[in-house]
Amino acid sequence: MPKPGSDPLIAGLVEGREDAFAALFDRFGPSLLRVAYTLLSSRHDAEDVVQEVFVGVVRVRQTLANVENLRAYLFASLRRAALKRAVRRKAERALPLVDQAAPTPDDIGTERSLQLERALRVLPAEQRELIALKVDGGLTFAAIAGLLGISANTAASRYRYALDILRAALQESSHEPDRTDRRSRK
Amino acid sequence: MNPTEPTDDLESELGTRPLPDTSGPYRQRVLTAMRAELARPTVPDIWRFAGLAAAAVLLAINFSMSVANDADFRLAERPAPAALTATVQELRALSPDLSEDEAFRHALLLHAGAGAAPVPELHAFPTRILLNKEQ
Repeated sequence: MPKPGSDPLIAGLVEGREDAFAALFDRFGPSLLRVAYTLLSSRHDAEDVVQEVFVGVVRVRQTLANVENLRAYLFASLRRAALKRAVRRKAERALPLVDQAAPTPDDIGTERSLQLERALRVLPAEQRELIALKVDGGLTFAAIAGLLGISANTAASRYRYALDILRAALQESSHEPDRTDRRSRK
Repeated sequence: MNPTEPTDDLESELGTRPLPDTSGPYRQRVLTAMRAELARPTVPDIWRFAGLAAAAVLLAINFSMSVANDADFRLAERPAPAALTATVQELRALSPDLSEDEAFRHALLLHAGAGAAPVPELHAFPTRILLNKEQ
């Protein structure tokens, strides 16, 4: 049973109402998909993972009354699902099939976007995750801190560091030697 | 601006880069999957109950088979205390037809009874076993 005074969306989910699940998807689906795409670098994998998360929510709907922060819950679920998918994909990619990480213009559009995507994919997974959660997920540093089990200050400084590295990678890729020394500042 | 030149406002540039969206067929796909999951009967509770029931039945069968087959759970292999051995010998002397295992069992019961605090008599189950064995 939903707790009295709880989020009506959660109450609807616990009751198993279809409209509540549609509302849940409309509210959180876009940001989850963006984050999943940045984490996994594959539209196909990102879509599968986000679908897994939402179907998982349906499966455990009876326990959702105990969830205090639905957004944090969903992003935590997404992280787990994306990690599992990444591990599986890494094993699959041991076989020389298709380079799924290679960005395609069809996926991301303009040349500048392509450059951004390439730079993001060069980032270490932890830093890419921070950028994904902050920029694509729209999470606050406090929320990211809760998700990653670190302090908000640490999350903020790591995010800035990730941006610096990303900026340096973009500069290197566009051959601007006067700004390439930013990476070594930290 | 040169399209390949990084801007200082990298954060906003990242925020506005084109990313996959959830509109159209993908939304329908996820909603359909959620609907299918909603329509599925909540089998976990049923399976949990079935699992517990099966475990209870297996346990009951196991115990009853142990009793029926006179399983001693390797008790006979333990070195018996001197007092117990003496009781077994006394019982065998009194009743030579009694098997070694049976005498040992009686001796154990006698010792347990001697050391037990007064309690309501639990007669039905052990008596039936002993009677069955004698038959």
